[in-house]
Amino acid sequence: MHPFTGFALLPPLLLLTLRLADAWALAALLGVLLVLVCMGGERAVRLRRWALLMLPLAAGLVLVHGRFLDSLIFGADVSDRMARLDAAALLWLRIGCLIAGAQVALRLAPPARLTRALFASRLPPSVAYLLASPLLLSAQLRRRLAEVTEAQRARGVDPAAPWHQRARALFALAGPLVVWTLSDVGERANALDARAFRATARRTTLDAPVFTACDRALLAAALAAFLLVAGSWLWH
Amino acid sequence: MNPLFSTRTLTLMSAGIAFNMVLGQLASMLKLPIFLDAIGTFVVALLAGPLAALVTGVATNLIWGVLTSPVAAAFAPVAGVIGLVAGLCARAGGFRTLPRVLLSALLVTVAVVVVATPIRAYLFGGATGSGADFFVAYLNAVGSKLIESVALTVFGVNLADKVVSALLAWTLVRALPARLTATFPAAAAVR
Repeated sequence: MHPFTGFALLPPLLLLTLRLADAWALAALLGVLLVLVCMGGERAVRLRRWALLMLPLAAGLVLVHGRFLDSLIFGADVSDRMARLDAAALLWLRIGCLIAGAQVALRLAPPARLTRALFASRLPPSVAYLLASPLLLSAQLRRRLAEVTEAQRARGVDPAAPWHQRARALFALAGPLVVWTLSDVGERANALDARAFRATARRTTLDAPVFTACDRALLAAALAAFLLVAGSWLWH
Repeated sequence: MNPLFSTRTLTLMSAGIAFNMVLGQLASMLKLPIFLDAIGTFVVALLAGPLAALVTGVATNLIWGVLTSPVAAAFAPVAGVIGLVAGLCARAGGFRTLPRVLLSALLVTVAVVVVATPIRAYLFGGATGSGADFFVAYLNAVGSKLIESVALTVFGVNLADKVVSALLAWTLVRALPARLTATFPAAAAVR
């Protein structure tokens, strides 16, 4: 499947989660989306990512909207606690559905394929470059950061020292990385210009992801779902 | 028609986005209680101006949204306003001396509060699942409205982060060799 197809499914999902006002309906939708997350590859990583975001958020929403500190510290009587928590639960379910839907879409767009799809897309070359090149560059920077950290460790910088020493280490670690990368900026720009960057609207990309009939059908389905949900909202 | 950004500025913005993505990792590696996810935006603001920094900030969060979760994408306007205000401050000479850098960081934090508070209060119900939720709940308990509690918490959480980010970016750009900064015609004065 083309990496962009998954993202086309998100707008109707967003509209649907906003449209549904019943907690049980949202819980059912969330259940379906979580099953979809579990069905693909990297299920443990994606489920963990969802849980790491949603479980602390649930605790935060209960703390803020349940007003437990009012009762605990000030002895206040919070009579509308359940109504507040109901509203918070609805919000949590909506966010949970969107995050789960995004995990399903992201599974279809691993960074390497997304980069190729962006370079091969009909987006203006500068926009495609700006969105795709950081994905490539950040992998290089992570390797460089590991090298800089090793080098600075050998010179006595201790990433496990007390916090004020760690804060001082920040410049020693970030400095070489930033200066190193900024020195490359000119070379990268010259290399791009030398290869007629932006001279033509389309570029040739080796092994570009193919937009199949299945992708077209899914896009049409996503558009139809979006119009249906938007229409039902406007109708009521 | 001339493109909005030169190729050199585009490659700088790409590097800025990558800094934002990687230096956040550095903060967690050093176990520092700050985000450091806007240093690249500050560097671009100093070297290429407010518009390039705005685009850098927005693109960073959109890419984060694609790579991890849409929560980062929801805060893209916040990242954009950091770049815009930092760039405007840099243009106005706000990064020439240490006190001016601190004032610029304060202005950036105020702008962050203005943009981030409604997103956090209305889109996420005032909670984000971090330790800051406790302060929101506490301020709520002592009588502040939810939006006020969120605004105060966002200000407190972001002030230290933006001061450190602005100082680090300023120090790094000051340390760059003159032959390198000379290749960026829109670079702001840093001394």
